[in-house]
Formats: sequence, structure tokens, C-alpha cells
Amino acid sequence: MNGVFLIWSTLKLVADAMSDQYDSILFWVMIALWVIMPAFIIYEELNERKALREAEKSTEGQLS
Amino acid sequence: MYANVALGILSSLPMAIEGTNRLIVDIAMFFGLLVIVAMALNFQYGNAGIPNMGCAVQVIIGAFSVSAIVLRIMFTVIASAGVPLEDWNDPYFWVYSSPRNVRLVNEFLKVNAPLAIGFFLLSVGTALVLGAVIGYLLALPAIRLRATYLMIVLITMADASQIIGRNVTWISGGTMGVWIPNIFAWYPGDVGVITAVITLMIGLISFFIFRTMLNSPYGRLMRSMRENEVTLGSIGKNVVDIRRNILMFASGVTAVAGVINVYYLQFSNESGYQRAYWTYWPWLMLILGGPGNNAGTFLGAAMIIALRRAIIVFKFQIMQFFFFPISLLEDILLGGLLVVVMIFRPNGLIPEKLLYIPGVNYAKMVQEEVKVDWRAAPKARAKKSEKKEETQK
Repeated sequence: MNGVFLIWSTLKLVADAMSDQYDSILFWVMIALWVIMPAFIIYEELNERKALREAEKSTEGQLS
Repeated sequence: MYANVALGILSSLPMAIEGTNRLIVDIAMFFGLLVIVAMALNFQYGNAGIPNMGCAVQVIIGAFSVSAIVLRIMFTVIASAGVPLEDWNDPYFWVYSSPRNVRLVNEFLKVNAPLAIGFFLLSVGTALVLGAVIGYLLALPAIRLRATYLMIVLITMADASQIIGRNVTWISGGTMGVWIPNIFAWYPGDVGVITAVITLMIGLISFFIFRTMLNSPYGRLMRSMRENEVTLGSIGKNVVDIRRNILMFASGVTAVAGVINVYYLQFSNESGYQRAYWTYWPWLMLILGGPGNNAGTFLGAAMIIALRRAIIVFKFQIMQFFFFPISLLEDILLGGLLVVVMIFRPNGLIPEKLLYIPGVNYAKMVQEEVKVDWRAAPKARAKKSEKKEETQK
């Protein structure tokens, strides 16, 4: 609970202090979204390819 | 302490949205928009094998739903709140009183943020519903056609929707167009930034929706339809229904891109929804990245948008190397890249992989030998018929 209050008060302090800098904040949010989206997709793609490769390897000996 | 750290970080990064930053916002905005369209196209063509050449229709429906429906609702609500709007019922006044009415609406929305957000959500909802309806209508004549004819029908529909928009004034002001209110007038900063953030968020949400659908049994059904719809029909699946549902869903999502575009430009006109921009470029993104996987779609979209923006920004430096007007370079690139990709990388930069289903060894399932004793089948059939005869006796 204390952690939630700490985060809330931190966010409130930041929001009050940054009331004239919405553009800066949103600009960096935009950049973060722009980075997170492809990064997540690439991470997932690599993971799936790895899992498929492993599944293929595990069946190599069993199949004729 | 944490507050001081956060304040320190954020205050050290003051950002005026002009110059290079304006360009970054613009690129992010169009990246978000075209990624939504390209992902929906990947859903239709890459995974279900429906060659939708009518993406422009779906986008145009989103834009028209704002200019023809939501704008009228907005005017009605705001006029009833006492704002002295000029007459907008007649098609003539609908176009010519549009700048003044929109200015008054902007002033009203500036101090009524909840109402503006409500109108935005209403626009998105209307676009989703109308997009699905247009998807259903597109599906009616086209669903039973083979790929080539389906493509021709969908291209024609894209053109038809533009011609209708050009000639029916009450939809989006005909050739003159209509102004659209600034739905983010309440936001104290730059409108472009907040629109770009919302676009990217919608792009992220639609990515998760498409991803969930593709990893579900429905996604595997779509892929099986793409591979062989005759076999799918023979095991009792209704291919026509599946294709229709896919077209409806993807149309709804694509229409949302039209809504955001129209609010970003704050102007609606049919000429902004040409099929080259809203159909062929997303196709190039899909083919370049690799159909059938979202990573490829993202890569294709990022590369094409970066390329196009680089041409626009460095046009004066580039133009000295070409003998033709630089404005034609984009169109030449569109055709040239399509041909090059189709010849050298027909599967795109990131080729499609097998579906990964956690806990299921798909490779084993595909390769497994199913032993069927075909010679035993007639004997079993004979035994069955003998039993049947005995019971009848």
C-alpha cells in the first residue's frame, strides 16, 4: 500500500511540476511506444523461431 | 527522492515540436496509421489469403463516418448547448458554412474535454460498425470469386467510393471538402503529438488483437483456408462465412485509421483517399516485409515510411541525380520495388514460419506418418453391411 501511495504522490508531483511541458512528456511517450512496439514484436518472433527450431531438433531422431 | 529523479529526467528533456521534432511526430503518426492498415491487410491476405485490393474503401468509410455522421451529431449537440452555428442542413451551407461552424465548435470543445473525448470515442465506434458493414457489403459479390476477380472487384469498389464521395456533397463536401473540428482542442500543447500517441496506442492494441486471433484456433483455420479452401469445405467448414467474418473484422479496424487521419488533418475530402496511397503502399509494405507474420509487416512499414520521408526531406539534394521531376520518384519506387521484391525475395525480408502453438509439436504433427491399412477397409465395409442385413432380418 505504501508503494502505491509513493508512486501516486510521485506522479502527482511530476504532473504538477510539468503542467507546462505536456508536449515534452507526450513526445517521449510517443518515442517509447515507437520503440516498444517493434522491440516486443522482434523479441516474440525470435522466441517463436527458437522454440520451433528446438521442437524440430527434438523430433529429428524420432521420425524416419 | 523518486520525485526529484523523475523531475530531473523530464525537465532535462524540454521539447519544442518544431523542425526535426515535427518531422519525427509526422513520421510516427503516419507509421502508426499505415501499420494499422498493413496489419489488417496481413490479417486478410497474409493469413487468410483474401487479396484485399480495396483497403482504400475501408479507410474512406472511416473518414466519411466522421464527416457525414459524427460531425452532424456534434453540430446538433453543440447547437443545442446554445452555440450560434450557421445553418448546415442544406448541402450548399454544409460546405460553405463549414469553416465558421468548425471554428465555433473548436472554441466549445476547448473547454469541454469530456464531450470532445466522447465524440472521439463515438467516431471510433461508428467507424468500427460502418467498417464492418462495408466489409459485409464488399463480401457479398466478391466472396465467391477467385483471387484475380476478387482483386478487380475490390479495386473497382475503392474507385467507386471515391467517386461517390466526390459527387454526393452531404457526405464529405464533394470536391470542396469539409473542415473537421479539432477533437483535441482541449489539449494545451501540440495536437500532432497527442494524435501520434493515440495512433501508436491504437496500433499496439490492434497488434495484440490480431496476434491473439492468429494464435488461436481461428488463426489456424484462416491459414488452412489460405492453403486449400476446397479441403476446408470438404471437412464441413463454411468458407464463405469465414471469409466474410475476416473481411468484416479487418474492415472495422482499417476504418479506425481513416478516423484518426481525418482528425489529424482536420479536413475531409475524397481526394485524400486515393488507392495508390491507401492500398498499394500498404501492399508494398506487406510484400517487402513478408506476408504472414507481423514482424515482417512492421519491418516493411518502417522501411517504406523512412524511405518516403527521406525523399520528401532531401528532395532538393536528390533531384540533381534524376532527369525526371522528383515528385515522380515515389511512384517509380512503388512499382520498381514491387517488381524487385517479387523477383528476388518473393517471401519478403522475413519469410513466414510455421505456426508455433505452445505445448504442441507442430513439426511432428505435420511430418508424422499416419498408417492406414487400406486393404482392410473393404473387408470392414463388407462386415458392416453383413451386420446391417442381419439386423434388418
